[in-house]
Amino acid sequence: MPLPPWPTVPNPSTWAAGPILVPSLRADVTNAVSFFANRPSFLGWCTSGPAVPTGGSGSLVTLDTEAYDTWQGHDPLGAQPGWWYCRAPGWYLAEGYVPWSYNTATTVSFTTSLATGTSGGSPAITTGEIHPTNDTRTPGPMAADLVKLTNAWAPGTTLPASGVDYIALYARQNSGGNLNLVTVATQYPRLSLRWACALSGTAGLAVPSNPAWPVSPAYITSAGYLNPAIRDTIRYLAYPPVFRAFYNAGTANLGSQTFPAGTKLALDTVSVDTYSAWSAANNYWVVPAGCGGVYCCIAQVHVASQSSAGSLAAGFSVNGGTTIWGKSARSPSNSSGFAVSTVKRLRLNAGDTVALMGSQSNGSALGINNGTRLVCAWESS
Amino acid sequence: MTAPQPQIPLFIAGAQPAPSDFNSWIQAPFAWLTSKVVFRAELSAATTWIQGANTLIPYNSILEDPFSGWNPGTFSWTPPAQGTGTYEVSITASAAAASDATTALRAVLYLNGSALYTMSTTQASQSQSCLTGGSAPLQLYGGQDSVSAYAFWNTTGGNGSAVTTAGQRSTLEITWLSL
Repeated sequence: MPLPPWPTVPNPSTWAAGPILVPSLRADVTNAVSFFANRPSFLGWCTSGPAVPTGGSGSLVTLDTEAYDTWQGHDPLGAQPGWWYCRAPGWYLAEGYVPWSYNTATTVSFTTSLATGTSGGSPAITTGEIHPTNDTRTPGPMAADLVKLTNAWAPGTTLPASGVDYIALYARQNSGGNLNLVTVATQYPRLSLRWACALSGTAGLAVPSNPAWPVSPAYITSAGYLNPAIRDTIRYLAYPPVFRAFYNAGTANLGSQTFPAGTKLALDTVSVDTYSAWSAANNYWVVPAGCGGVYCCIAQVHVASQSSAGSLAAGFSVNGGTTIWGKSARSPSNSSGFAVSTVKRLRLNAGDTVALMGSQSNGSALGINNGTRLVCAWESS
Repeated sequence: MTAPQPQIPLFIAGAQPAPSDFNSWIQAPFAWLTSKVVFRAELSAATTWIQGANTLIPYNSILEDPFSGWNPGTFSWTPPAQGTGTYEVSITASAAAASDATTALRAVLYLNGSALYTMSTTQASQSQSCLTGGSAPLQLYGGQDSVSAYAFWNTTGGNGSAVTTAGQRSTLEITWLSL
């Protein structure tokens, strides 16, 4: 964690004509560099191989070991070792992975989920991958998502008794009895997360050009340099193009196809779209002007239960071209539903369109469920 | 690209900085935070996945490597010397259809030649390509640590093979996250 005074989510001032004051530079530049270079992030594991009971909403995975926890939002020995408490409000990219010690041929469905909540209340669990499995090969579904944490536990203060947002990892199985998580070191269940975007900010900015400091006889002006190079740079890095949408209606179906043929999936509910770049009419997200770069993209396709075996795939369509598939898995018949997810870093140009693609080969149409989602988050120019 | 990783600027009241000082304090860290260290590659050459073992993914199509960290001899990537920090790694491993119904594909992240994390495990189809993978962070020493990706073809039904068709290839992407 950075040394005190701890940085805050950057919100730079507008420079006006006059002297360039050191307190202003510290408040804006030092704070921003410190925050972005040391953003809240966490990686923790579960090494104890706990037994998870069948059914219900799933079980919270206790993270007994930390790789790093830059803002100390987690305490493996505290009252809630499965939670990472929000230390700075914002949108967080999070990933989870839960493998199971299960090697029989009887079909069991395994689900990895991410949950968010406010201490003192109940968690909201959002499904990740659901893998109905009978291949005797240690199933390991993952979860990836962009999650919102609003109520933070301020650095340098005592943890409040309630009212702090958190994120957690959940695991579920429907075998009818208890099953254990894996204890192999390279396959420990894990949760990772990092701050990606502020909850509010200035949209419409382009990727900063980061010009050099003016040299005399050039003048240093607020309009010519200070605001574009400092204020707007910080604003962009704090509130870059970030998007998340999911399908909620529960009425659409995904027809059966022969892979790699796929279908562009409709998304009817937008969680966040900082640059208002989603086209509901076309069901794709458009990279904003001036914002080309490397984007973290997450595609998840979630379908209803299947009466026969089949495969499910998730991927991206950029500009309507060849689908970039990232996950394709087989499932036996099941009553739990089936969901697959992929995470890729794509280099996208301004104006490029990104759509969620799904493909299933069950033989008949399957209902599309609300775990179907698309995330695009700018990471670098 | 030779920009140093971001140094937290220290502004001292009463100092008489030169323009170059402001470039170090303002331009350089913001340039790093805007144009982070990235690496992307994919596999377009025929490759065999050994049954029951981790097989190194020999990425041969380097999509971007601005800091020249890729080693084509070891199929591993090393961050630049000035790039110590936390990185996010995304791996996709792909395989042609399996020969039986008890085969699974796993993508594994390696650090300095040893397995570190499993990304995800996926039951393979007998009628179409299987793709698996995920994303995870790890901390790397610039100029020293090396990252590689492996595919574990978990089966007793014989070796598997990578899919090299565009849109279904094994991929590796790495981006700098923080110090």
